[in-house]
Amino acid sequence: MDNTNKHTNTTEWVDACLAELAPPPDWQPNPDLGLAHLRSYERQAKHRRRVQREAALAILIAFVLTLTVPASRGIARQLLDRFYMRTPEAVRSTTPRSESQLFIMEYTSPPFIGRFVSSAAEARKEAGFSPLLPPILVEQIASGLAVLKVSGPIDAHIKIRVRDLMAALQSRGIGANVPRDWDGVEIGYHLGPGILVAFLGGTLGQSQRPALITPPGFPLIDFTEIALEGAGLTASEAHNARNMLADSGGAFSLVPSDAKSNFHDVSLKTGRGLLFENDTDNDERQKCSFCPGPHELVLTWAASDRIFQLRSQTMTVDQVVALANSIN
Amino acid sequence: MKADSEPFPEVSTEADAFDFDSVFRAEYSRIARVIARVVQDSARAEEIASEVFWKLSRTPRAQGANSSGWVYRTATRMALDELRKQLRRKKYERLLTPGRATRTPEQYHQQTKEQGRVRLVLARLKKPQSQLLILRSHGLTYDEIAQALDINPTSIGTLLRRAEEAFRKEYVRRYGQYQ
Repeated sequence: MDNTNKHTNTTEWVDACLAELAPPPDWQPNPDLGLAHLRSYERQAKHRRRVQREAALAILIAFVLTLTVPASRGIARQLLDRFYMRTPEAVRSTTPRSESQLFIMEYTSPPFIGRFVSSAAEARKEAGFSPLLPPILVEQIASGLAVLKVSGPIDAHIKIRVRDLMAALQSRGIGANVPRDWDGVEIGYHLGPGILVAFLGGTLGQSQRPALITPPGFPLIDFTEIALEGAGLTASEAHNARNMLADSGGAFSLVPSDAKSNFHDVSLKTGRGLLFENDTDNDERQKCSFCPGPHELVLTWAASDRIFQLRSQTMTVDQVVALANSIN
Repeated sequence: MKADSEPFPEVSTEADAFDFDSVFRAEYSRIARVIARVVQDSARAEEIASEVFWKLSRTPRAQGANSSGWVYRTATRMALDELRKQLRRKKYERLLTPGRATRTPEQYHQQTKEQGRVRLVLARLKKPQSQLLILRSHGLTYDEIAQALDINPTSIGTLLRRAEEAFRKEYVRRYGQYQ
């Protein structure tokens, strides 16, 4: 009985408390004003969506270009960037960026700049793999502050021209012997669909690891060493890179000597990441595949089944690392 | 106790024949009043109410038989979010004010008013518990609350009792014995 009384008292008391919050009885909300507000939200949201779409499109194009368009030191390093992404590395070349291209990549897949998707589930359906996202970005996507886009796939190939490769090596004073039977060999490149999140602070891209496709028995590692020498690495750098590729599946980005960006390793929850920092006003994205835009940070790292790239012009190093570490 | 009668009016219930304007006209005032209970700012309440309906217009799965319930649930959630935001803002404003700001008699009166206490306690409760109490105080029946919050109608009584008890405990913890 006491409990019943206590409960009744509590209920009455809580009701009385909440009754204090009742709005004044003479206040009448104005539906016409409300409808006007609603229409203004719609207009603002349309504008915001359009801006986000355009921004994301621009970012995506830059992202795809960064990943796919060869920097001028040659296509070989670009392919290596794509294929061996388990342990991202960077090597500073002794030569500046050159405009000559040692190999020409021909795209066999139609251009596909991607399309917006409304949810991670839709992205999974489109891309064929589930995006791994930091909780904060999951919230931002749900609330419309971040947008998801699916890009790719990309298929391309290069054809080895032994004469051109020999000429490039000779022009650098390198007397390497290039096997004649490499002439005309095609090395295919496949990058599956990627998922990009464009948020207020930057972009987070991810895709399954790309693959290089060579003819059976083709000595890709030997070719890599020679091609990198032709592309501007010293003999010892090219040899180190070869060992890196052969031993650990390490990936590297060839950074030309005139790139101002700094890079260093960072420790992440999933292992090691490679952080590029550009404190200048120069856009260096065309100089190497990990190189940042003006005042941008680029963190590249790999998980067991995918590669990630996080770009931001507004976040600090600690924030970038924390965001990468918060991915579930 | 029936602050606003007929909370769930008859509206078009077929998702494919969803008449947004009629739902808006039928529900807007009630929703704005529920929000005003929590945010205590009529202009802001109307803005949030518009935002709720904007979300409804952008959420096809909510446009059906239970659109009213969805609107109430979203409205109370957004109102509580706004309340917490207001309280956080006040806290930071106090922290950023150099020295100790002198309160005007009006502010002092406002702070000590029961309304302020109740709102603070609501902001500190778990959101579903606050939603239950707000909707009950707004005059919704158990079935309507269950529909709005998407919970089993048979659990409403128990959940309400727990929410009341949580409210009482939080109030007593902050302000001492209740009357």
